[in-house]
Amino acid sequence: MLKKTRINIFVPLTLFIALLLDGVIASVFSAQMYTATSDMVPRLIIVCTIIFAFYIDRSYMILFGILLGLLYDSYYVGILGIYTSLLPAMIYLSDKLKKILNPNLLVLIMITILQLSLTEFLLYGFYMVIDLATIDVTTFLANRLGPTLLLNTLLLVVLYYPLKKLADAITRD
Amino acid sequence: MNQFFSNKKLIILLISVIVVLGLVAFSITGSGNAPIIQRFTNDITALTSRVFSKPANGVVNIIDSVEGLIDTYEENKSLKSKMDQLYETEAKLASLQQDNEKMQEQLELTDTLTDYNSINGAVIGRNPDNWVDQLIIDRGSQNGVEMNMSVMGGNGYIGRIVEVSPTSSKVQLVTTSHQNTGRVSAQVLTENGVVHGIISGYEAETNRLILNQIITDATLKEGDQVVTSGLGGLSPSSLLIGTVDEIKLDSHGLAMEAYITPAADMNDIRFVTIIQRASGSGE
Repeated sequence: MLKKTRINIFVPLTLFIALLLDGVIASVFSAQMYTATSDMVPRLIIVCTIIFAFYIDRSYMILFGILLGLLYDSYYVGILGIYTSLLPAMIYLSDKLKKILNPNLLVLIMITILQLSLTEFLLYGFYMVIDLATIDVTTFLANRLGPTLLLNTLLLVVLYYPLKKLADAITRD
Repeated sequence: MNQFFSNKKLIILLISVIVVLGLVAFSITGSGNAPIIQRFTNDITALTSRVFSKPANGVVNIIDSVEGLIDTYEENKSLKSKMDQLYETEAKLASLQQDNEKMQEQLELTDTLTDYNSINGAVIGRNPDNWVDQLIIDRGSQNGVEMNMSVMGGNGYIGRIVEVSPTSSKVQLVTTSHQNTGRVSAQVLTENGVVHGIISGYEAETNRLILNQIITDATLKEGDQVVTSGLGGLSPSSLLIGTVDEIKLDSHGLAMEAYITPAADMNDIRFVTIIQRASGSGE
């Protein structure tokens, strides 16, 4: 039991670092990523969550999802409840999908694209409702969803093997 | 009824939806500062974030200085030509300032709208999904930062403080589309005196701010400087916002509307100056 909890620290730690890196990447590369015609949103935390959700126990992941979602909301926007509900929902969906799919890189890429699109649409809808998003759907699809999916698929390909190794090491014990 | 409540998943879903909606409503309507737990967590997160943002900023600085070195020769030539003008302006400014001080003494004015103190800080993060354009900076209430203070970055006005924690705070950029809360009272410096207006929007496609509620007989022209007026009660006056790019009648045809090219590059902000207004705020 002691060993299990000690190793499990790595999961929230990785997710936490992913959360921080999102903000740092966004601020350092903002001139390149947020231009008039394309918004690339780094979503390291979502990519990491999806990868981990395939290998690690669901109840743990949902707990971490809620905690990190709260942190994300509090730290970046200040409106609690958006990522707090999105992250656990994604983990739940991944958990359902992992029962029928065999996790390999190609499958994960497809699932990431699916879930990220879902997330972006939900976020767009939410900000639309509270009057913060003013762009129309076509602009959203072309300027935001496309570039974001591209960037995050690349991130997933880079992160897949190290995170899989980490998840394997955790589940082995 | 009994069967309904036996469905555990549905109950959990229902409760979580209620909790989430409650949280959203709580944080949107809650005016002013966040609860203490939230401020505390934000602070710890910001503190950890510095571990990543410091080296990242460092690397970018090195790249910038190398780029700067390459451009030095060209830049030096153009700067030299501007120098002579600058000396002249400086001398003029000094004498004007002296005059101004003397006059203020005579009138027994202590704080005018142009007086302010400044606090320097560095950006440690940015909201990744930029629906709400927010920066996180490494200065907080311990350094004297307060709600609604104006923030300058690069060469001009970029936004205002929307949340303060002890050692970090959030800056909402003026480019955020939702401007009901973040409007800035501004004035255009024209040849025939000042013209007042309100910055109330941002056009992302052309990267221009929209200044409206300008009287129709105002004589603005392209290239005029736009500064804060300080009449909104939050910012001091004469912080540079940008220059006028285009002037037209607004959609109702009752007032003029000017498009402004911001002086600060909103997408490349690494260091900020927080402006503390010296004369009492109008709250």
